[in-house]
Amino acid sequence: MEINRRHFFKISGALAASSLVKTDKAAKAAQAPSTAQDTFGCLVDTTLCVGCRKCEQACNERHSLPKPAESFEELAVLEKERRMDETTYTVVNKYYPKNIGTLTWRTRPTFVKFQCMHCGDPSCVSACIVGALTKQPNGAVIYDAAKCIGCRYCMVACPFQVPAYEYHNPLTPQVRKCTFCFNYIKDGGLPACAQICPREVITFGKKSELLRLARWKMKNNPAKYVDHIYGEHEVGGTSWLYLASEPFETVGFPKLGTKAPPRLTESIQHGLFQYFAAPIILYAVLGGIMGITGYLKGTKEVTSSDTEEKGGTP
Amino acid sequence: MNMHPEAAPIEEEKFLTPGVMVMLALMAVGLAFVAARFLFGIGKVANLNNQFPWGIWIGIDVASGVALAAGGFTTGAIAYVFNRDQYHAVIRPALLTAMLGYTFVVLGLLVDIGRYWNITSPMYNWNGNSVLFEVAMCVMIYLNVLYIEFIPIVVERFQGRVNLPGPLAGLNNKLETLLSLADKILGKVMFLFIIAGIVLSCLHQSSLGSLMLIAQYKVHPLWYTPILPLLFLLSAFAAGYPMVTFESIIVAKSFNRKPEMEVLTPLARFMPLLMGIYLVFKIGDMIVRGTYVYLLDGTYQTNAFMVEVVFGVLLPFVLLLFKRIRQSAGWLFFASSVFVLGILLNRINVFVTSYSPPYKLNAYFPALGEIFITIGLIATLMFLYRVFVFIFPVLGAEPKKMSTTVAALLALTAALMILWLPADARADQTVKRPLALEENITPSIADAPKVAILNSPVVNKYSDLYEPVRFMHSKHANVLGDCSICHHRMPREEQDTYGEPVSMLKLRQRQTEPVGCSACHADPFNSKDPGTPGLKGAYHQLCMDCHQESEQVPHVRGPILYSAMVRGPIARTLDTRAPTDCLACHAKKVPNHNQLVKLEGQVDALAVTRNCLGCHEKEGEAILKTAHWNWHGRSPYTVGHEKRVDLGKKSNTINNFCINLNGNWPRCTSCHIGYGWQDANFDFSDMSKIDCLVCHDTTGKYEKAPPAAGYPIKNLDLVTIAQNVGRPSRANCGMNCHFRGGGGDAVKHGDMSAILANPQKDHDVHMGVTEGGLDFRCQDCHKTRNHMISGRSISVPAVEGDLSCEYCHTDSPHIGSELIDHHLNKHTRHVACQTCHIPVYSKGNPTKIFWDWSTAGQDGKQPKDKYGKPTYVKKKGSFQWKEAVKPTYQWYNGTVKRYLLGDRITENGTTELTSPVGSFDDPAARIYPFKVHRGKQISDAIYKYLIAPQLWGGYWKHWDWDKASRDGMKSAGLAYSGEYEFVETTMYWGLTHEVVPKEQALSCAECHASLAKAPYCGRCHQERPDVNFKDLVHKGIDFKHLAAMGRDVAELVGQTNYIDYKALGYDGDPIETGSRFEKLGLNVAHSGMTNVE
Repeated sequence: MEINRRHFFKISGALAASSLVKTDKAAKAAQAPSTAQDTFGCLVDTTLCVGCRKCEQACNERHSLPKPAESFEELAVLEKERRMDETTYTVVNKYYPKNIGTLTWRTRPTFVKFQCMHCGDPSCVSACIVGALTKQPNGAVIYDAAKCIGCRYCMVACPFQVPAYEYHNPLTPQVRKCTFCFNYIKDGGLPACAQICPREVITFGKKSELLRLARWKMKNNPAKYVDHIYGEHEVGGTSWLYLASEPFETVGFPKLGTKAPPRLTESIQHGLFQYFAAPIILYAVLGGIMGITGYLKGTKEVTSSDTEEKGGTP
Repeated sequence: MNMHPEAAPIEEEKFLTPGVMVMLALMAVGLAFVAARFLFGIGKVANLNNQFPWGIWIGIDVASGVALAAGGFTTGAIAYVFNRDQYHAVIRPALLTAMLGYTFVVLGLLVDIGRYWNITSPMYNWNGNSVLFEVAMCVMIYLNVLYIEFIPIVVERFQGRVNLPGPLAGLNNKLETLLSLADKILGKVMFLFIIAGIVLSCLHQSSLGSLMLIAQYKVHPLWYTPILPLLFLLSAFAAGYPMVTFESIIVAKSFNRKPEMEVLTPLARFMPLLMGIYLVFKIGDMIVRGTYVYLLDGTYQTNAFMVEVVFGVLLPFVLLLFKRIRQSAGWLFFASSVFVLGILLNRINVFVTSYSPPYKLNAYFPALGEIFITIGLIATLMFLYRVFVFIFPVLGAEPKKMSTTVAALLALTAALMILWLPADARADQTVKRPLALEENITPSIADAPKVAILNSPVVNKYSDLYEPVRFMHSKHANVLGDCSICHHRMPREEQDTYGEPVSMLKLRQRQTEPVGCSACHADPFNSKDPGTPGLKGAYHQLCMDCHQESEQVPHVRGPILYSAMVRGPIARTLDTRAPTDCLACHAKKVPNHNQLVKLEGQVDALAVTRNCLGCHEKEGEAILKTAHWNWHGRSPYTVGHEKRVDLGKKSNTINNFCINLNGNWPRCTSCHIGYGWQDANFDFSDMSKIDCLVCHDTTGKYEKAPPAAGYPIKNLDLVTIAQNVGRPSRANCGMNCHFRGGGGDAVKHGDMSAILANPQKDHDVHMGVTEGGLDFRCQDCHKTRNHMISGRSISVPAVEGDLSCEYCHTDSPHIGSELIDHHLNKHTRHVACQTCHIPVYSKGNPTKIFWDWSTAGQDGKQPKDKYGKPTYVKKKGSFQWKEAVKPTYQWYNGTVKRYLLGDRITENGTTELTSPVGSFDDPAARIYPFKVHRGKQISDAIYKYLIAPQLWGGYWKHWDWDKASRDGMKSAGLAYSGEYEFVETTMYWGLTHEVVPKEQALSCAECHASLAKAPYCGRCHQERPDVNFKDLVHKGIDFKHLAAMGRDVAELVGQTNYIDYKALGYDGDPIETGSRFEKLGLNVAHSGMTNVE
């Protein structure tokens, strides 16, 4: 068998070496989607928000969502931390300051509006098995229920825990999340929440302008803002940017790194399947072995050396 | 070599054993839950939620199912690719396990995914980036490969023996040809499928590991590693043979055969090798990434990891190193089972246990439905396995020898995988910005426009939920004193929306007023200038921020706490503070109720209320707590009764008009905001009796019928009225009830009559509809929350919120920097606003000032007075009317002495039913104007308290005071002695309405005689060429002009003692004799004053 084994290793070694060549190209192919700064975004200055919940009401009305049990004017709901669900695309939460400082405005709680972040490199878009979630050129991440199979992988993928599911719909459940009012902004309109906010907490515009605006605000009033724009780099950058006067982890934001999760998974995915090299090589190798061991010819492969080494049957 | 039989269907055993019965029972339970899932949705049977979208259906049914079906391809590799014949004995059972296993993975998926009918969608909607897509495609193709690999077994069973029952027998031949065709073709090409099966298995076993890599920040570091796909692949390889061994020994036991140790023991030699390689990578990865620091945390995740690795991998690995273990069926079974469980645990850990969402509102534990569906699927799989081995030749093949070339191949494949992994991205750095300082500005006062209605089309373009704001500009200017707080920037030229900063000095130098806000703040989100908010944002940010800060900064002067906004002598309630919520500044727009009101044809009033309550149930509940509904309430201002909650018309207060409610309900309650209060048994907890329309009708047609206990007049089109409801107007409050108190228009209140429905500006400046009037609704001053209406009068006890002029005008309302403004502002500590600004009341509409009940009951004609008003009516007695009345002035500190039913009257004198409390020495008291209504009413001669007679259906029917008293006092719950008399009473009524424009307030000379003659102001002040002192002191109401217009004020012309100082406790004119608490510093002609030269 030694000749055969040597032969085997020679072939597989050569094949392995040739496949190594493909490594570079494979890595390059797994690039992030275009992170051009000319997509739309929203800058949320949480220091301005007073928790009036008009944004929730406007979103509810624009999408004709069912009215919640409590009226939108009921501010007591802010005492509990809420999340979005299948009939609520956005919520406002209230966070009391952990350290009461000396400046007057610090004794006020921080109100934060949560919704889909419309990431620049969305994990949900990469994860969706059928491509039901897509990133539009204007920045919105939108959902096409016709393609969806309901596997909920997008919910596993989202670092912000945004997509909500209609678990109680037996036949046509959908994934629900903020749509960025896609149908309106592509015709020059405004998202419902930005349009209605009486204090203009939410500024809608091109992402590059919003970053400029955020830095201008931070420069003009450095004592008011924590020195960080949340969403600028988190998970590769998101369309919704936030400013706050408290550290972001204390006001309900998850602590995330700057790595976008799809970069890793897509590199592995594309690396494995670049030109289908790995499967084809493996197939060829196995076929080669099958040939060598004589299965194809119908010969049986039982040798004395095998029996000695492996301590065959009693 | 032993002689073992070839594979054959089981024949010697019974199919239905007790074990099978258990399987069937579990299948039935599982099926029931599956039915519930498909009928009612996943949420009905599972505890999956938005925090935990994947549970045991993915962790066990899919992930573990795929891992444990790995026996198929691993034995396939050994038996076919490496052509080790001796393993053919286990190949068929392994293949069957794999085929059934993967089938049930797909069935489990059909239960888990929400849109199961769309499961073919991935076949034409491709997302090449998605790992799950690759898994799905692979599994789909592999499942078909497994079916193809199983066909030879079917062929072997049925070829030459096809025998379909009954009518289908004609197809026997066709089937035979099909089978032999399959046999011929597959025999030649099967090796292609076998290799494909191994390749596909390698791909998707590893991809299943990649699945959780996308949840980078949610998977516990103990499991999250870039080599997770490799670990999954290695563990799948390692799981194959233990799984085959496990199932082989169980099957052998189940069919009473000896376990095929001659196959299993050699097979077991591979196990420690594969397990060892897996362990090396798993533990090596933990060391390289440093995640061993978590191992002793004690959290459930860390503990799960320890169990998985120590018991699930390390233990079987060590055991299987020993030949004795591998040769003993029992020990081999034990070790294999433990490893299989370890793999199961690993998949559950990766997909469920390790997953920590950022917002864990609810935890996850599988629901009964999830568990039973999983168990049901497994039971069905085992049941079908048994069915198959009974039908097909799967079990019983001859065992053969084995080889070890597999390991090298696997290591090679693993090496190939690792080479394709990418490097990490670098973390970015945020850039720090330099600091900047802001300007400080010193304040000063200037003239300002009065009131602005904020109703810009720029704002209305984006939202129309609210009505415009009435912004009191001059008040803000007065209180803040610095224009540049709000007008913070000025455009340098046209179209400049950024502008330059403003200061009072700059404004003074430029002699220019600041510009309006819309000069710079227009549309929002202007990309040329994103830092400038739009008009709506600018208003809200500026106004609300300042209001919120003022709320937090109380104004302390000595022991008294002031609200920063109102610097009055008493700490005010929330209403007085600067508004910080939406409705405090602007009312919500009332939507058009045409479509919202669902009424047809002729409806009665109660049907309307039912319809209203359908949407407005909360408002209905609120009304049940209000004073307008209950006709009594708290009265913390009534001396001696501050803690009572039941003071009011309903039971215990009394006036000297129609006296009291008890016994007179159906007539009096025509002003109740409900229907049907006709006796003492009205149910005040019954929402359905609320009358919404009396306040909310906007057509003007709704009227209550006088004797109908609150029901409306007949023949009203209630549907139209209901469809046109809106915000109350003066007509609602006044024309329905408040203008007509006491039996007719203007009878009761001195300061409210039907004229106020559409008054001239000179009649009432706030409610005036002519040029210069503000056309206020009642609720613009009487702010309402939850239908509790603020404001009170001395005449009625119930209070739902305080209200005073200072709330809008502050206690320094005379805006300006002239000395006269300073003097006028100093009056506010001693003189109420109303005193000077309501010089006469009941203008144009006479009011009753005297009512003598004792003369009632005589027939005869009704004489009229000079106003044309009757001075005698049989039902009521004699009256006196007066128009344009000069008020009575009293000290009043806000508290009231009130007569309640059952209180002792003032014998040999006048009983005061309500009287203001206050005195010259009381610093909280100020001089207020009142209407005093004098009367003579019936009283109990023995018990010496006032009687509450029954008039409606009582005295007005039978004209017998004794009977009326008896019945009335019975309703009131008080004893009646049987003897009555008539006593004198007075009642004070506050005056706050009919405020005249400021030019018509009382002039200085009208009260201060010392100013009425030369040198006027010159007695203290130097003459100035631009100021005419004589005009200044006489500036104010011109009674001569009023008399000429027809007002009955002839006797007021030329008065200089409008306020009787001596009666109020002063020594004389305060200018001469000194104020209450201070003396003037100047030398004035009065004895006792110190002389400073």
